[in-house]
Amino acid sequence: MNALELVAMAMRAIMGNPLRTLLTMLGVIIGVASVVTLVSIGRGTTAKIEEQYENLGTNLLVVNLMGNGRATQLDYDELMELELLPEFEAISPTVVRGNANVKFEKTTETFNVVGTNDRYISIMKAEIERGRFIVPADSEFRNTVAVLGSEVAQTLFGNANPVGQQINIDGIVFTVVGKLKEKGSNIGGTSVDSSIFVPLKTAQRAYRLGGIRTTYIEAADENMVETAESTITQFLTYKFKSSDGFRVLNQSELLNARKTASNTLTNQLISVACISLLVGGIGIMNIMLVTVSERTREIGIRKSIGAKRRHILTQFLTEAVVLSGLGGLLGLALGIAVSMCWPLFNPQQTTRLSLDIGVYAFLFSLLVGVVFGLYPANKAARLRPIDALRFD
Amino acid sequence: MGMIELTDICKSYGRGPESVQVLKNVSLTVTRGDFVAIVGPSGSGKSTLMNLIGLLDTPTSGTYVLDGVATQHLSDNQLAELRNRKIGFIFQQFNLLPRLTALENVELPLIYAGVGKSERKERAKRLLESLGLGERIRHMPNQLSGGQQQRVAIARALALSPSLLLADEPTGALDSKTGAEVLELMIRLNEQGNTIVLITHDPNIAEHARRIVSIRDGQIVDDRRNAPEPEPVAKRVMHA
Repeated sequence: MNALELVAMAMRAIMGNPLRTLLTMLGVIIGVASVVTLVSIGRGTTAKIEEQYENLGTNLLVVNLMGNGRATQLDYDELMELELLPEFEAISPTVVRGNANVKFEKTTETFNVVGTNDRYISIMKAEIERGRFIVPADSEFRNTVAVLGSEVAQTLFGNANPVGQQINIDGIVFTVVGKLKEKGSNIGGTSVDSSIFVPLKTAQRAYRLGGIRTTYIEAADENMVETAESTITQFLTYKFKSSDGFRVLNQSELLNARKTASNTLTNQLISVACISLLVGGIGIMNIMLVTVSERTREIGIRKSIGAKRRHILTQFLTEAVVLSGLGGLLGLALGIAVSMCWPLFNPQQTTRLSLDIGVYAFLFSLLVGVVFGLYPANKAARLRPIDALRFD
Repeated sequence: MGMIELTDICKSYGRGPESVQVLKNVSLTVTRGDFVAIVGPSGSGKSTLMNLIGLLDTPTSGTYVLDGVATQHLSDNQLAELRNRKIGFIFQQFNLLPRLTALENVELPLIYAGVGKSERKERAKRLLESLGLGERIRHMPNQLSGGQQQRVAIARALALSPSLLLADEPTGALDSKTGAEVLELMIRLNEQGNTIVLITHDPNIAEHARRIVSIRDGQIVDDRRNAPEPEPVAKRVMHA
């Protein structure tokens, strides 16, 4: 009897009691479905983190000043001198006025206003859609010009061209000189799309913002990130005479840490799902034992007409494997369905389905069938024909 | 040389002083082509004897040679192969597999003998046709009458042209009319050269056999002939 006939025979035996079959497979179905779903969510999360990482560039350092007062003030021109060093590509200090009231004609809305220099746009890998970004002269002459993030422009102007319009930001009138393309992802809670950019010195004077709080630094290249990090750390430690009061965040390290955390969580969840698969296997073993004792007479008949041990073993093992394999396929289908529907209910999360994990999950379910089917099948195969025939 | 040669067969169940001896030094030779009835009341040991002849059980002592093969030291798998090739069982309760069609039931021994799919379907179909069940090959056992079920079981027993047909109360579950039909079929099979051993408690049925062996309390108490010993002829299969 070839494999196809064996499977067909097993299917017939299994379909003799569909409800029991479904209940038996449930453990494997849930196990496989959870593995597939969790892996696709995990991979989706990792992919999203990687996307952010790529969006920001691999060379980004973020310097946060935390202290107050003169001792930890940072002078703009002094900071920009560092740019002359080979390890630095660009430096963009910023000051932020959060939740400023921005008014155009009859629309008023609150946005973050970021005071910065011309380097900002290249460091953040943002692009101009209309007009221009801040230029060095703007800061020099403390021009009251503003560049709008795409969301800000959309809110205040709709699809109309904002360039040349005047907006009022907390009582000061700015002329819009440019609009950025939509960027999408954000870093550290500040979204480029929902911010307004003005010259650093204009913002400092107009809103009395004082010292620079956050500085974005792009290293010359990937290999220079560490050098740049140590240079800026040394510079600040020397200047503040202490290594407190500031923090240098290496963006790639940060994202790797996040990726590791996400992977760890995913792996733990998968282990739990594997336990469910294991429990499913025990369920299959249980039902196979019931099946063997229910069909003792059948085994006796088969043996009396010449079935060898391996025939009986193969028959019942095939049934167990078909049971778990079918559960695996149903679980796979369920897992794919859940993975595809998941983002509809959780817009923050993306899922990424991949063929390999489906194949592994299915193979694993087959393995579960073999492992947990072996004992019952062996029990059936070892029955003595005389005992099995007498059984009623 | 006989088809069946049982020498000093003893069979006891249990061990030590509580063991029960069911067969005591039974020796029996069955000639090729013969039709032997083994009769005895229940508890006489005839079922145990049939299990031993059918290789479903092994004797405690004594030797059994079936169609020239000594069965004493054979493994489970070798016994299974002998049952498959040399013995066709016919049971009182038919013992068809309820979830398989008549055709698939007849195919079963052929599957275990490793016969290919198309050949085995063909052979099973021809057998069923020769037993008048050509219209019923796709029926499930519960869609067939008792007599039809027993004929399917006989077709299954004949599937591999065995050396020996071993029938255990083949008419026991049938009414007298279909019982008589099945008995006639067995007589016909014997005339065609099949060796038959029939186990029954009913002396009337035993009378149809060529030779009647009576068993009581685990021993052969009577052995007589109704018809002459068959001439040694080449065994023919039914559908040949």
